Amino acid sequence: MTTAQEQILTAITEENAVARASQGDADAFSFLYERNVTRIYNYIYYRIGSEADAEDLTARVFFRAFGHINTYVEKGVPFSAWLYRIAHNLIANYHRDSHRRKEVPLEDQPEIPHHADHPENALVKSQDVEQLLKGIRRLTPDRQQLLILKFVENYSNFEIAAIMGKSEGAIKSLYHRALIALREEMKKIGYQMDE
Amino acid sequence: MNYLKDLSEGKKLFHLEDQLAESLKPVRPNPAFIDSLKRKLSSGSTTILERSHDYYGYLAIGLGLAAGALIIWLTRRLK
Repeated sequence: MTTAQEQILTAITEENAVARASQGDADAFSFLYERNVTRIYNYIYYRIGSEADAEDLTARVFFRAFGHINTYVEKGVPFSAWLYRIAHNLIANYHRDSHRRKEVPLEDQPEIPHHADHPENALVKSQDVEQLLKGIRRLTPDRQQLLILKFVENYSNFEIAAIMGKSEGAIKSLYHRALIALREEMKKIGYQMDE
Repeated sequence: MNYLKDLSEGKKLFHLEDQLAESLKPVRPNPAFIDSLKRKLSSGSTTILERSHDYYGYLAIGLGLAAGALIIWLTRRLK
């Protein structure tokens, strides 16, 4: 990388990247993409549990975002909040369409090649983790989102509030309700919690 | 007694939090996918077909409501 390129990249910040990307600045696009792609993929992956579908939906999120970047309105929240909202809507469509498709028993589904570091695909599958993920996916979308942002991305309540467009107090309350709901879901699926 | 119950509930939730912290780790997407998507976004040549909205569904609901309203109106007029 040349010094000139380095100077351009260092000059791109979260604040000016969107404006520059909407004017067709390729470096700003790269900046926004690289900064957000893994977290959006993680969010989608944990919500739907399929690597192939997570890749498909992640691609859709970025095509949709960059296709409509001119319509992005700066509201003092991170750009990722907008991406999470797009992902959230696409996941809702995905689940709606999945319900319409004929359900295939899990054992009849084709095996997809996996990466070793995906929790559900680890060589020795942890039944506890599987049960926990199953329980999480039975929660309402906003509770799922909160748990994923908190535990997978390690965001603070303040950051989660900005992303989800709620107050910090509302996030604390939602978090408490999410834990209680998760415990209930775990009981329903027959998971015995260790005391 | 309520205090003890609350304490036990609190313990269970702490335990659940520990389990969540242990189990929910970031996953690493396939680097080939990340690179390929970046190339596609940069070139802007790939078109992803977005699923169309269910306009037929909305149309059917709209027609149903209109037909219902018409029937009610006709019934009232005939009385």
